[in-house]
Amino acid sequence: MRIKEIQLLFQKIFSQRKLVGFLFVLPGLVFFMIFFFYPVINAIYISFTRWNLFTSKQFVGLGNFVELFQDPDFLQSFKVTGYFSLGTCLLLWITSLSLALLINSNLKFTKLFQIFYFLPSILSLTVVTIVWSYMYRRLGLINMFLKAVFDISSIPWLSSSKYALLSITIMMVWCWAGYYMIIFLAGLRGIPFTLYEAAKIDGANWWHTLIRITFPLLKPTFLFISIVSVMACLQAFAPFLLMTSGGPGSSTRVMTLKIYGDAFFRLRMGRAAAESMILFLIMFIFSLIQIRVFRSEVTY
Amino acid sequence: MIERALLEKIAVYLVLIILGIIFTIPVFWMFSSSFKSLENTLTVSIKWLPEKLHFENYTEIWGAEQFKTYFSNSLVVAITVTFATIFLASLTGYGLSKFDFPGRQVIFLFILSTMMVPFQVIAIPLYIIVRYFGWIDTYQGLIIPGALSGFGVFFMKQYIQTISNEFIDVARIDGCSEFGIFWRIILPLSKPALAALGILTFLGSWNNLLWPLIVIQSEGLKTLPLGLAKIMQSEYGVRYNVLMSGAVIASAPMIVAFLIFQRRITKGITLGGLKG
Repeated sequence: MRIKEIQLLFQKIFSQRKLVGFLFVLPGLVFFMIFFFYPVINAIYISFTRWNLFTSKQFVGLGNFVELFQDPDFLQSFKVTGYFSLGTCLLLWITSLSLALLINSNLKFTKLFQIFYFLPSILSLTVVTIVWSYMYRRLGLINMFLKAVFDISSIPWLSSSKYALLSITIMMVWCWAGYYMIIFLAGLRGIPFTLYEAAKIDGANWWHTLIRITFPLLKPTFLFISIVSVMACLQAFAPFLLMTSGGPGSSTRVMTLKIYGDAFFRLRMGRAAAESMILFLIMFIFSLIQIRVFRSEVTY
Repeated sequence: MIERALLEKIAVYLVLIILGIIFTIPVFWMFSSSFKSLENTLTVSIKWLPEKLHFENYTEIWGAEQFKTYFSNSLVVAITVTFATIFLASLTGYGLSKFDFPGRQVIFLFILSTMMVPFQVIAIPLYIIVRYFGWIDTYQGLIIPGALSGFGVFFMKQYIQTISNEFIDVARIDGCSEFGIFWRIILPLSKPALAALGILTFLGSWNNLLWPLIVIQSEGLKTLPLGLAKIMQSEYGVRYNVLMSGAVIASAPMIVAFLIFQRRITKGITLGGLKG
């Protein structure tokens, strides 16, 4: 009786079709178990230990976290990451939304412009960094241009702690704007055209249509873009490593750079893992806030 | 009234063109400088075009350091990662979208969650695993941890879901094996999605810097971003004309792919976003 029941249950779960489906998923599942799930669990554990890769791990509880919040270097990298992410995201949203609105106006040749705006997004950050480092030189293209047009004397873009972070921000906005423009465009094209026609009949001007129809209906797109862009900014690494290596001073030493240095140069694995946990927590909290802010009802 | 509309149109075009110029100038500057002589890259006023096309910059960088090796390494890694990802992602996506088995939702959510965790978090343990397998400084180490992405599974699941079940049922009645259905029915029907995912994956792999930086030490295994970073620090770091031709070569495959598959790429981004 009992055996029969179990057999039936077993058959129900592992009826051939179900088993086949599971077998299709299995390789992927194993992959994520080894290269994602285990590393995440392990990272959490390492963050509670002191470890330099060669000695055995020494459990220190929350020691790493306590130390981090007393470490001026870490607090500085926290601050730099915050400034960079805030500035880059705001500029990025404004730029990419403006580009999308321009492209979406019913004009000819907008497809062509779209290609030009998007082109930087496909270049590798290494290439982008090389080209912009050249343009940011004391006698680089940007300073020559500013001199010729506005008669501004040369700005030390990368060699002054006042400008370095701004310089990287500008470069990243240039590099990423086209990508977010594409996502905004998809959102804009999803808005029913009849709404705009109705607004036109009601005599609404361009600005009112934008505020009352476009923005509210773009909420889901805003949500997606705000999450993805904040994550991208917090994770940015290559430009900081290659363009300034954190300098001058520590003016561009973001958290990702600090993690990399602590882990693979100073071999302080526990501390680096703790830092990466904090980075993840920041992302997680941000995502929750953004979902809260943008999830509020969409009204037609 | 008509005049006002016309003026507006002109104004919009003007803005479009100015922005177009701003967005194109750095790329143009890279191309233009890559053909200049060294003196011409160090002028005090702007020289938009090279006075003579110096193709030797290209032959020089191609022969410099181990540029050729970097290039072919990048190619090998990106192509392998791309094919592995589209195969494994569609396999997993098919299982998740067309079969109903216990734990399916949980597995899908688990795979989705991989997109939320920054790479920096898993970088250290991943390095340790790869070291444990003895893959530090090998092609396996470069390729295998990137052989599948949560985004890829999500992307393929969304697409395969839209394929009608009738195709699968008919094939099953005809006695097609389960893997045969996947290989001969699902994969061919998913071609547009496979292409989009393939291009996005290739792009991400080609441009990846952080993982190769961690896992590769020897010159012979460095990929282009890593190699370029090294060249930037070498004597070529101040020879901007040669450096720029290196940058052009590194971007060329991407620019060509973009011009050919422009619509696929934008579609792919709209469907889910690009990692990297």
